[in-house]
Amino acid sequence: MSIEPVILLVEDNLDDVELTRVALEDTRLTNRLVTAKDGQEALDWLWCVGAYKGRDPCLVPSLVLLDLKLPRLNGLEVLQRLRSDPRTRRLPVVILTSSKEEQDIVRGYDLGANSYIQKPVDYAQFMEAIRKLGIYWMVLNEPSPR
Amino acid sequence: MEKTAVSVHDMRRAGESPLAAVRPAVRHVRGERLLPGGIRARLLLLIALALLPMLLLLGWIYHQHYRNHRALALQAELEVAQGVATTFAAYVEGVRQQLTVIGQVVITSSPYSAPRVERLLRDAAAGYPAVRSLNWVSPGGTTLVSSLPGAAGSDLSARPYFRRIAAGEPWAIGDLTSRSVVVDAPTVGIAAAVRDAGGTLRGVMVAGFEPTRLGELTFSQRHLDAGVYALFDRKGHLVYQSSGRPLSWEDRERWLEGDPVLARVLRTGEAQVGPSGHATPGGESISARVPLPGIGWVAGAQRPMDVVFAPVWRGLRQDSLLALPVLLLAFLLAFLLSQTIAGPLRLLEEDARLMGESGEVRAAPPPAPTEVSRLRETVTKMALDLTRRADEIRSLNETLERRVLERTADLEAANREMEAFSYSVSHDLRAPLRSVDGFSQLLLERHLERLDGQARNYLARVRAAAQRMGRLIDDMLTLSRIGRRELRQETVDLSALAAAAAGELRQREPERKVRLEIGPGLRAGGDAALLRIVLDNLLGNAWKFSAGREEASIAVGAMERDGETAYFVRDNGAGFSMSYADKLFKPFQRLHTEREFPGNGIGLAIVQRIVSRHGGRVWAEGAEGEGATLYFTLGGKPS
Repeated sequence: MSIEPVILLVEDNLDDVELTRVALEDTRLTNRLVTAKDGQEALDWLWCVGAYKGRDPCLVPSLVLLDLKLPRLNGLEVLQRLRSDPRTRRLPVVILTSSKEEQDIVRGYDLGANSYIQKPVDYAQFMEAIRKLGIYWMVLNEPSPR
Repeated sequence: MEKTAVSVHDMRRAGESPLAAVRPAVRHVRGERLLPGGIRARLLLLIALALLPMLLLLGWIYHQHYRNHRALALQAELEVAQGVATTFAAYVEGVRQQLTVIGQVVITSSPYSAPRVERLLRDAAAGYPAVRSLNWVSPGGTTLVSSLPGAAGSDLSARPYFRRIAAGEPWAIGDLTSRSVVVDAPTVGIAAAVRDAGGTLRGVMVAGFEPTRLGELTFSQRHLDAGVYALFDRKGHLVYQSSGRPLSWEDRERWLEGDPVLARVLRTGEAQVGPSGHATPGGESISARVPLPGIGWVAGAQRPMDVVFAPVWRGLRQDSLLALPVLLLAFLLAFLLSQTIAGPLRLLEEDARLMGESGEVRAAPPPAPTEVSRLRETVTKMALDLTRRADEIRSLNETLERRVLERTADLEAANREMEAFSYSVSHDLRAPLRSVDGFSQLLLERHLERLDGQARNYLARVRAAAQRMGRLIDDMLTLSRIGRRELRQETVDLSALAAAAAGELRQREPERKVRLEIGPGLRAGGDAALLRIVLDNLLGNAWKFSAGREEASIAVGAMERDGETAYFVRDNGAGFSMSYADKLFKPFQRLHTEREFPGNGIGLAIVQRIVSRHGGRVWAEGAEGEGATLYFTLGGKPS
């Protein structure tokens, strides 16, 4: 299993998916964006199970952008399961969510999130954040070897 | 739970304190120090005081009794002496008459025969044991015939009694002499003049007495109770004493020196009684002395003191034997009665203490005086009342505790709901705004050529509104978070926080020229993160409202206000009218339009929430167009 140079965006709000996609356009990372619209789908895709059984190649992405408020499994539950599975234990996960609730931040880091970013309402700031994020994690960051 | 327990404890302490406050008032007043402290001792004192007049009366009565008895005893003694006097006077009178009779026989018998006269005299003398001799004496004083052999011829003319006869008295009695003409023994003479029908003195009959033998004849039948009776002559010489040791002539002659009662009689001529000078074998004695009128002698009676006063003491003893048991009985009864007062009181005191300690009430109280019984009822009622009230308080406390728990549960539920609500607001309200802003921005960026100026203007307004609402949501969430957040307590460097806040403001608007003065070393106890929000807001406001000034100036400092440290942020900006001062800190309350100064009216509400959570207060002073000063305290003592 090797690292796939893709970003998994776990987000149920299609507006946010679109805005994120547009923000990444200028960074040449757009065609590497994969989306999952809830927690269960994200896990299925990552572990190549369920609807994604036999996904080829079954590789882990370079980065997961994880929303917290999700249908079925929420973001923190997804994070907890990722960290308890050896395949995804060291996978970079950035929580990207609307809220800045202290309990979410603390719990997120406790469960092993690599970063926590609140989505700004101002789109200019949002774009700036997404671009920096992409560059940092996809270009600058050195992932853990398998 | 903890709180209620403490309050019950406090109540108990509060219940004690009134008692403690009362205690000094029970302190004895000055006069009471002389009295014994206890009721029992005081009752005993009362009994003693009540019995005291009775004792005094009894003493007085005894004294009167004693005086009466004594007077009676002395009177009795006088009577004895009087009896002696009467007897002796009768005896003397008898002798005198006898002498006269014999004298008449002598002068009328004829012829005169000396032997016959002698025989007559001897016979007559035999009838008087005390008479030693009967003598027929010539008017010249020569003894012609005597019943005693050897006495005839003696001259009696010098004897005082003879002289009185010679002077014309019908009879006379002499004083005691140490010896008679013939016999060497104390002698008394009685003489009677013998005259014929014509009154011529024909001779004198003289009887010579031997005083020692006088009493045996005359007074032996008298019962004297260990007493002594006596006769004294005109000189106070002891003529006769009914008993006692034999007396020498000196004793008789010097008797007067030791007999003050006799001396008084001789001086006054009246009967006297009193302590005698001469001791009798039984100790002190009482003497009665009575003068013998016509004779000039004194008769006396003398008895030992204890004999005289025996009836007195006997009377007193009888009285005492009667009175003392009565007195003792009275005291005993009074004492027992006092116990029925003091006893129940002491028992009540003990029971009251037990009631106070354990709340137990004696089921069957012992019999007691009415007032004590009532006091016991009152105390018991009070104790029961107290117990009942304590129960009430306990049950009230339990109710209160239960209510507190219920309210706490309600509050916790409300808090949870509030948290869920703000969590939801935080996530769900912002997402649509981001879409509104994001897609408006994308329209402006990517489809600019298809939009005319008005469309662009509208889109810009849509974006501004979305961003404003985003900030509003952020501030509201901050406000609601402050109430739920746990307050940390640490030493906070307010100067540093203010400098940091000011630094951010300068960075945001580097073109602004603002003179900033931050007082050095401003320190306070509190939650650093929350105090940072306070300074961000206050400095932000000062920065915002001083924007119109050519020379904007902001000062941060501290001062003493009403014994507290008040921190302040002052600006020379737009200011406000003091008539709106109370509206400043209400959420969403604004004094300026959004166009004049942007803002949502939550900043100062947040400041107030944080300051009041620290136990402090916040207020503002200012005037329209002349700047504003915002003060806040943090509830701590000035450092």
